[in-house]
Amino acid sequence: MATHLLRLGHACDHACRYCTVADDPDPELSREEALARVDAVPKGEGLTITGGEPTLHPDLLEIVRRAKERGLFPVDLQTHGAHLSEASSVDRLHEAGLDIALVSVPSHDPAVYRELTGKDDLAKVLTGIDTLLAAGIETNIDHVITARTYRSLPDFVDFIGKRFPRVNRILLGMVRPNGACAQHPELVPRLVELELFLYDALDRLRNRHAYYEVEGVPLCYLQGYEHHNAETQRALDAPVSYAGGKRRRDIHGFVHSRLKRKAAVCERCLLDPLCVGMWVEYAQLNGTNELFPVFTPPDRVRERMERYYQRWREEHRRHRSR
Amino acid sequence: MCTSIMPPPKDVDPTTEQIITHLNGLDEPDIIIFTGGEPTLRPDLEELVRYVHNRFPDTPFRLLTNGRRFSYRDYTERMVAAGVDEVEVSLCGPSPEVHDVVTRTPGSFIQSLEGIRNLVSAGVHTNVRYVLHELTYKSVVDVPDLLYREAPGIGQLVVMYMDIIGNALRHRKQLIVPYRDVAPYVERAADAAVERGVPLALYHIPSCVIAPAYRHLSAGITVIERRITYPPQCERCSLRSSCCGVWKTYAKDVGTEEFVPVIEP
Repeated sequence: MATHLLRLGHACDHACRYCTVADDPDPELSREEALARVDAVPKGEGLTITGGEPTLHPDLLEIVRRAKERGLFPVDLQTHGAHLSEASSVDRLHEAGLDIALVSVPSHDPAVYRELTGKDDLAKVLTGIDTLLAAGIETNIDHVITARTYRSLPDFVDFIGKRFPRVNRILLGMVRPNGACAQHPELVPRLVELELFLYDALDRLRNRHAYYEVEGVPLCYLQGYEHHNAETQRALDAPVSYAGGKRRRDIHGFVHSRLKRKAAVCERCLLDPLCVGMWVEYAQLNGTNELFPVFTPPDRVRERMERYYQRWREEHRRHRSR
Repeated sequence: MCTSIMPPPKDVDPTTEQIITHLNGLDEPDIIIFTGGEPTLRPDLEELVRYVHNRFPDTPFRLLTNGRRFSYRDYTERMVAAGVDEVEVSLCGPSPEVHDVVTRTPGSFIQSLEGIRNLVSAGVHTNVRYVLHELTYKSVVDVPDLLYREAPGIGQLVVMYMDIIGNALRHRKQLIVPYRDVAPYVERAADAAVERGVPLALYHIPSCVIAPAYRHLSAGITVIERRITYPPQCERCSLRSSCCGVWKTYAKDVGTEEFVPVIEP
C-alpha cells in the first residue's frame, strides 16, 4: 500500500540522544504548505505524519481532518506521546479521523527514559497511550534498541504486554548512529551482543501472537523471524514517498541502496536478495564481519511475509469498519 | 560450518538447486559438513553427496546424523558408494531408557546403534557424538563400555556440552546443568574410555572446570567466535588461548562465577 510521509518540521521538546532527524535546520511547515501537501496525496493512499514532534504543530488537527476528508488511509501519527494524556485533545484527534498513533517508548524505566530523551516524561507517555487506546485509536509502540537498553528488551516487551494488552503491534528499531546520535556511538550495541536478548524478546512476542517488526537488524540475526523485518517488507511493498513532492521518490529504496552495507560473504547467503544489510554508519563503526550467510530459502520467507502482512491488513480493514 | 544460532525452521529446507548453487560458490573449503535437521531425511542426499565428492574430491566431507537410517544396510551401502567416508552419529544415551526419552522416539536407540555398527563395518570413519544435559550427563560414564561392547572400531567418542540453541534454548530450564555438576561424570567417562580403548574428545567444556589430567582431551575452540564468551576473570587464566570458552547462552542464563582462572607458573 503506497504511503506518503509528511514531515511537519523538526521542532521537538525532547532531546533524544538516539534521534536521527534532530539536527535538520529546515523551518516548520506552514498550515497552507502542510495542507497543500496533504491535497497532493492520491485518494486511498496512506499518510504518515511525523516531525520533529507533530503534536506541537498548531494545525495538526486540521491536517488530520483534511487527510481524512480526502479519503486517505491509513493516517498515522508518529509521536513521543507526552502531550496526549488529556482525553479531550485525544478525542479531537480521533474525531478528526486519526487511524494509528505510533508512540516512541525507548525505555520502561523512568530513569533510563530520562537519560535517553532528556525529559522526565515516561509517566505522561504511558498515560498518553492509555488515552489513545481509550479513544479508540489504534496505538503501536516504537522502541529503539540501544546499547543502554538492549539487555532489558525481553522485560520491555513483557512490560508492554502487561501494561497495554490492547497494543497489538510493536516496532523494534536498531539505533542508527546518524543525526544527533552520531555523537553517541556508545549507544550502538554490537549485533553479536544483542542477538540473544533480541531472540528472547521475539520469542515472547511470538508467544503472545502480537504483531511485531524489527528494523536495522540484518536477516542473519533474525533467523526464524526474517518475515518480521520491516525493511524487507518495505522493499517488497509499494514505495513510500514524500507527500506533495515534485516527483515520487522511493524513500526506502534510496535508503536501502545508499545507506546500507553488506559484507562479501553476503553474496553466498540465500537471503541476500531479501536482506538490506546493516546501517552504513554501523559498518563504519564496527565493520561488517558480524554478518554471515544463512541457508534459508528466500521464497519461503517471502511467503511468510506475505501471510503476515495480509493478516495485518485485514485487521486494519476490520478496525476501519468499526 | 554451522553459523546458526537458531536452526532454520523445519518447513523451510533449501532445495537441491539452492544447495548446489551454494556449493558451487565455495572457494577451496577446508571441510564440507552436511547437517540439518536430519540430512538423511532428504531424498536428494545421495545426489548431493555424489556432487560434493565429484566437485571437491580432495576436501574432507563429514555427515552429521542421528544414524537411524544407516540401520538399513542397503542405504549404508548406497551412501558409501556415493562418497560418504566420515560420519558423526549422535547418541543420546547408553540405553533405550535414556536415549529414546531424549529423542522422544521409541526404538531410535536400537536403530542408531545398528547404524553405527553398519557404518563401521562398511569402512566409514564413524565418530559418536554424545551431548551432555540434564537427561544425559550422568549416563555418559556408561557410554565407553557400550561402544566397546556393541560398536568396536569407532573413530572417537565426542563428548560435548549442549549447545543451547533451537529446542535446547526453548527447554533450557529443564536441560541446563551447571558445568561443575557435569565435570565429575565426564572425568569418570574419560577414565572408562582409557580402560576400554575408546578414543575420546571433549567439546564445549571450559578447561578450568575439569581436572588437569583431562584437559588435554579438549578440542579447543571449534565454533564461530560470536557464539562464545570469556568472562573477565579468564584474562588472567593461563589456558585462555586454548580454551573453548563459555556459550553466550549459558553465560546469559547461568552466569559465569563458576569459571576460575587457572594460573600456571
